[in-house]
Amino acid sequence: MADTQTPNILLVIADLNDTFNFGAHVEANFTTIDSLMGAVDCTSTSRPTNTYKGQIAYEHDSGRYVQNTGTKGAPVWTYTSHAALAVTAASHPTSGLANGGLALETDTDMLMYYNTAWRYQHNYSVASSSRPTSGLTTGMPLYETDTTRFLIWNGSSWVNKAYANFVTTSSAHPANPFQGLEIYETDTGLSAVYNGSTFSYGVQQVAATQVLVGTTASVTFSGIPAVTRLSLSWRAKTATAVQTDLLMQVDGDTAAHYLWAKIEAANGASSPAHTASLTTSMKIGVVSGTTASFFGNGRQEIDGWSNSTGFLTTAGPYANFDAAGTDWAGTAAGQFSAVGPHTSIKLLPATGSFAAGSQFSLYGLE
Amino acid sequence: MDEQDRPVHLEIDCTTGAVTHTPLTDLEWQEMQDREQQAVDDYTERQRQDLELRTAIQAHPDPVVQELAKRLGLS
Repeated sequence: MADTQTPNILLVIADLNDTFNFGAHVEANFTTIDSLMGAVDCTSTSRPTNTYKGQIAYEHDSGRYVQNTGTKGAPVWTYTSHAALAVTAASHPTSGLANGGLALETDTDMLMYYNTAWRYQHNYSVASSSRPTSGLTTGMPLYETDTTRFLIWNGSSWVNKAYANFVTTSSAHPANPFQGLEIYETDTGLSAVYNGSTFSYGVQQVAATQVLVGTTASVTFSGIPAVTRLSLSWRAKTATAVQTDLLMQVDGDTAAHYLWAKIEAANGASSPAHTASLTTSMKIGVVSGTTASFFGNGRQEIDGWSNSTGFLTTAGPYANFDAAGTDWAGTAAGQFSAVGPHTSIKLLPATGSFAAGSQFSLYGLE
Repeated sequence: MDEQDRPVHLEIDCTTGAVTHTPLTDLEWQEMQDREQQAVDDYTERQRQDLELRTAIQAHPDPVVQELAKRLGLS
């Protein structure tokens, strides 16, 4: 005999119903037939413990073939089949593994491969509160079923690599945001960035700057979101021959609900003025007449826009020049005697209409 | 004024960005033109009064009045 491990005879046993053959090793004294060499049916927990190197077994619980790659006295069972193991996320196989092995998590429908560790094969779909933290490779994508975001594993954390803002509403900000996440609110038209602890809105234009192309009797900004305050900038002239006051109304209210006061210098002479009682609009500046190239401009900081307990107030500077040497410079303040939230602002000249080239910009601040 | 000169009301919806132009009614337009003419007349009258006042102040013999006018920017 060459050795005590290699089978050296072949026995054939046949009957009317079954035919099988197996090799066996016969000890030197012909008294012992020592173990079997054909495929053995067993389970993953009942593999033969006294079998030769090369012995193949079929595990009817895992559905896989396994081979003894060890010795008779110390068998090592290694899977040889290429079908994926059926497992769950909490029960990945930990023994008898070799690189190239495949597994299917039946509870997550995720395919995995083994390459020194179990690793996920394709996109992971999960709620934002259940992002995986193991079995990951750098660059692996993930889809969040509740936020509809696509994230990428950068080797140490999940990050958002999409280039479009997250579209949402003011009352439905995404759960579990991360620093740098940008959102756009479809109901307010506002954008915000998550700074790690809260969403920061910053100063943003609530409407495109309006540059008039023709004679315009009034300019109204409606549907203004409920920000804390607004900043209105204007540069205007009228289609009337002379300068005139610039008026402002809120929420389309044309009744006597306004107060205003101003300190201005007309041609260098100071001329403060105010309304002695509630009136139908606020005076917030002076716009130029029709003289070519001459404009008036100013700014109003409008506060209490979304405040539900205090009246709206506004204040700001203005200036205006005229070819005849008539100039105005001053500060105007006003109050709309109604609490917020408010929705619209209307601007109109006290006489005539705005001329083409006049422009108005509106910004929101939180 | 020609019909093509009739002004419009401009409205911008800040939520949708939609811009609406609404022409003035006949009554609004007539009232606007009337106010414009009145404003021109008032402005012309103020300019005349202002010039008359400045002329009178500059011609006043009292030096105190002269100094006060200078400080108030009236001369």
